[in-house]
Amino acid sequence: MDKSPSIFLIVSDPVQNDNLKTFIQESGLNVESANQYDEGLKIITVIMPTLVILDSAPQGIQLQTAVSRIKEVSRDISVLLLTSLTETADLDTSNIDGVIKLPLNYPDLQRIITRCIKKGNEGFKPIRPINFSEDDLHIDIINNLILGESKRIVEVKNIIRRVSEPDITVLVRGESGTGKELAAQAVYRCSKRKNKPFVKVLCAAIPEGLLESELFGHEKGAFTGAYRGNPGKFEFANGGTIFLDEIGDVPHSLQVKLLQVLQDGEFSKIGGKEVRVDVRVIAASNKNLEKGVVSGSFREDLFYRLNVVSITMPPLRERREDIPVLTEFFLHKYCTLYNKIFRPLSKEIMDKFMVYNWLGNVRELENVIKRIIVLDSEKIELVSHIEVTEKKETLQDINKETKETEKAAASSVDTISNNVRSLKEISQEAVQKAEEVAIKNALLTCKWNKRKAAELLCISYKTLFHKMRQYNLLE
Amino acid sequence: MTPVNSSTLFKFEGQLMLDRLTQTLNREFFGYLLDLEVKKAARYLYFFSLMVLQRDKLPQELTQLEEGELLRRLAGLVREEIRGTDTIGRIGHDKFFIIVDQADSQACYKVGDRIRDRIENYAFRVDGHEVMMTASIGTACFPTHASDLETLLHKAEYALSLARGAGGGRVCLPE
Repeated sequence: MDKSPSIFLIVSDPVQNDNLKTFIQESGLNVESANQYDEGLKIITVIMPTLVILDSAPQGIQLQTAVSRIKEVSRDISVLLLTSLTETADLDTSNIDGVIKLPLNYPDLQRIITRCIKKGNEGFKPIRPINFSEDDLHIDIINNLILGESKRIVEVKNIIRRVSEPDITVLVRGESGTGKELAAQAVYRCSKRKNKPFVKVLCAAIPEGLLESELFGHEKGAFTGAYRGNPGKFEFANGGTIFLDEIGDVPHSLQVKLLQVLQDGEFSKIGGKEVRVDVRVIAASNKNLEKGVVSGSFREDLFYRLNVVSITMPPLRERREDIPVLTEFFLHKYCTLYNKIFRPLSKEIMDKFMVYNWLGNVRELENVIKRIIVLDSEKIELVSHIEVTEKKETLQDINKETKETEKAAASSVDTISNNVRSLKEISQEAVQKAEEVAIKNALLTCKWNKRKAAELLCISYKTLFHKMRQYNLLE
Repeated sequence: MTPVNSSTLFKFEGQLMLDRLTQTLNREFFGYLLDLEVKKAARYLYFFSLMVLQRDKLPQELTQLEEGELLRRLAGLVREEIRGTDTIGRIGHDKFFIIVDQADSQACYKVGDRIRDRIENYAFRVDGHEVMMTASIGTACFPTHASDLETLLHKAEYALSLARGAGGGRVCLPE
């Protein structure tokens, strides 16, 4: 065989596609790619590559058929499967020369590719090995976990890269749904402890009474029902990393014990002996811990112990330029998960995405895209989602204003009460004032569309009309 | 003599313990593991749950071959959704049992609902056509709902009958 070996990729996920392409190019091999299987097969028949790397769920075709069609082109073409499945037992591996598991492990990938190329090309010298620097690998890990290239997120990625190596406590902060856990994962996977356990504890989800036992464990007979001893999460995480999510919800009594572990690496199990552990702590909170310190609900010394390095995950509305990348990622994710055919979103919908407020951050975006994929109706779903959210926001505003009006009405009651009037009259007047303001606000919000305003106020059109007449609001 | 490692052991024993179509545990071996799990949970005092999953009636007639392919994919989907420590076995033609390790009834319900959602929205493809499928799931927890094997099986089957009786495509607990 005199032609140099070439590799062809049929990978629908653009991120994986780029990663693989860069890696193979840097190995000194020719590489070409296609996103769609049909398109890829046509190119394969022309260029006859040595090796094809194929998605385990090619779009629009059964995996087995997809592989056999490639083999029909030439039996000499090796086929490698790219799969994110943890268990590959249900994959039909006949005809397949190897499986590449995600997330990519570059040294393994290099080995598999070399083996396949050697197989089809006995006289060929092994591919040029690449010496990956630790830093390159870390950048890759972080980029795979945290998507986006906006200024804010690049800053976060840089901090993660810098803080992951030294064994220091990290506090991850940010609104709900911004990806605090992913940041913690990134720190862990780039750290020296990456091959040691990563134990996650959702402090808010464990009842207060059980949290101590969950974190620190207990000895047999420590309390009623403790029929046997139980190691705590800190013991499980020994040598590795513990991720304490929602640290702001840890009760005050337990904060002292946490402080002791952070300071000395020592704690005592319930009803038992002292235990010494070597654990790196990564904590996360969506609450303002400084306020907790001021109000006394969070210990100041614990706060300073945790806040050695702080990573703040920016909300999605402050990094809007990342919305297209995230949208595409979630579209691919759910199309693969539900075996749907990938279709990019229309420009109109993307425009709406770009201006929407995303109070639920990346999690809200993910849920909207999931619904679009599942229900296969982007417009209806998106419009209804945004309308419902806006409606909620408007109602919240109206409620706020109504409360203010009620307050004003209540204060007026004091003055009214000087004149002797029945309670019924006073309350009626207050209600009328509040109703008038709420109706006015609803009408203004809906640009005087009475049907929409009635919907917003959850009353019938007829009632709204009647009330408008009562308060002289008819144009 | 071939050295024994995890892969050779699996292949050798695979002839005896795996269902050929879905590559899940067969009825006999799953029964043995379930019995063992009940004994272990009773001895070491931990929760585990048994989940029974059955696909609902398909909207269209399929050939035996096509149905086999669907079942194979269905088993694959379930396996992707459960953890590596959970155990899945094929008990009937379209019925699967899953031991959800160390899970109480609430945790098992969550897992069941995730599986239901994945199956309900997954575009199964047969001969190039999209086939939508739903599955009914019944779950029972040891020791919340039963503390012996017979009752546990009975309660899980009862929960499945509740799910199917309510129209399918849902997860039910025995109460």
